[in-house]
Amino acid sequence: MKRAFRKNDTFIPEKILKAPAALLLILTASSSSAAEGAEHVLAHTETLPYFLMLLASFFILQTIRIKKIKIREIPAVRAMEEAVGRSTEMGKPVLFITGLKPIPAVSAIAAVNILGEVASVCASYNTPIVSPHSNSFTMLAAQEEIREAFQKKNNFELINSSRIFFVTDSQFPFAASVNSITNELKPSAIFYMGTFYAESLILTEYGQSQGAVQIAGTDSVAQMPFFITSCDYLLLGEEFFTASAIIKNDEKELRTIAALDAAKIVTMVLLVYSFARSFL
Amino acid sequence: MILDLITLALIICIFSFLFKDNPFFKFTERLLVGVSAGYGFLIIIRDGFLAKFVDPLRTGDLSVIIPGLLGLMFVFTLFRRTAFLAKYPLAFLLGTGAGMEIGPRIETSIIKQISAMGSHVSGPVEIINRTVLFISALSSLYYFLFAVRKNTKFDRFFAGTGIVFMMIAFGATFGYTVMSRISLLIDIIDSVVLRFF
Repeated sequence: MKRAFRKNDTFIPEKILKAPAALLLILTASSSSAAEGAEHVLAHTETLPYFLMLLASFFILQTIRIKKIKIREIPAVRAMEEAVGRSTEMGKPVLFITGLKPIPAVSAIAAVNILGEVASVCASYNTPIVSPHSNSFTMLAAQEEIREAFQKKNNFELINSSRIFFVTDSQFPFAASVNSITNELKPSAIFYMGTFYAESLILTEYGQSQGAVQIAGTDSVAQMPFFITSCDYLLLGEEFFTASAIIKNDEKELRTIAALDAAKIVTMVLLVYSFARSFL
Repeated sequence: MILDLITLALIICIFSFLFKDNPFFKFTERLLVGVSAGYGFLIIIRDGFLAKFVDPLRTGDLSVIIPGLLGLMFVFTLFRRTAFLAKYPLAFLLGTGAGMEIGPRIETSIIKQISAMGSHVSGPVEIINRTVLFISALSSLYYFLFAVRKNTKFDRFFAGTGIVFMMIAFGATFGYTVMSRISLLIDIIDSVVLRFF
């Protein structure tokens, strides 16, 4: 634990660890005691989300001084490139499903970001990517991401052969259609990223029966058990939102993740306080 | 009676996949996709384009012109030279969507839960329940720290505790959903048997 506070440490952002203490100081300064300050914060639940968002922005600014941020390894992220490589070896396309929630949803935005990264690996390996969609807006964003990824790698041939198309916005017909595509193309790697509902097990079970490597990422808590049982790897909740930043290894996005860690520590502090209060 | 027979035939076609993939299953699958796509298209025309754009315009409401124009910009994706114009409404959607979702999500998923943790407890059972809830919430949250976690014994133990609690929750959800799916199957079989036998 001592190593955590060593100077110039590249793993633990020291500034971030100081931030929760700074929050408590602010609370104490604005109230007669830290307990009263926390009480004040918890009493105003409507404004608290905005307070936390401001706090996260403050933490992001704090991370600028950190030289290098290292994020812990997530097995599912490491497996993505391996899955695409497997598809390349087998001469089969990669199938990418972006879930049922349309693009304004944060999960759909995260899914399209990951799609861009997977498409970039596909472009390097000269492997086509197929992506059926249940929403036209998500489809447009996906087309843009894939086109950009292939153009960056100067792989213009595969842009046209990669298929990104709209199927239907109804839940079970979409599942039936994806299963039909899986049966027809026999992809060797299937990615399920986004928000899924009751169709999740229908999709993943069929994909597994076809012998594909399956990697899922979702924020739907109710569907996680099905992805765990039928997929090879799963990005659980928050991991799903950080995956694209980890793949890109983009310093700015990694700083945001580190800053959000600090916001989570604040949440943990409030949780401890709230738990202690329940006994009073 | 004819409709009932069609329903029965389609159910049998779908269940025929349990034997192996066959043309009857494929026909029913494609019928389902086609019908839903056609139905969805009609609904969008009626409840979206006509009800939210054409009707207000007829009544003199000009405020719908701006969203109408933004929507029209999506059509430019059909032409290679003007395809970039579709990025603007898409950016608008992304920005407003993310902004509108983050605030309420923090409130419902974090703040309300923290507040609920602070409600007064009385009695040994409630105290045990609350303590288990507290440890599970704290350790699960700890598992989702990405940059500040170190590979120490405490870290592995506490994050592992979080994973164990999450797996228990997932197991319970899995069992519950399997039960509801089986009840759906029983319901279908029951309706077929009642109707025809």
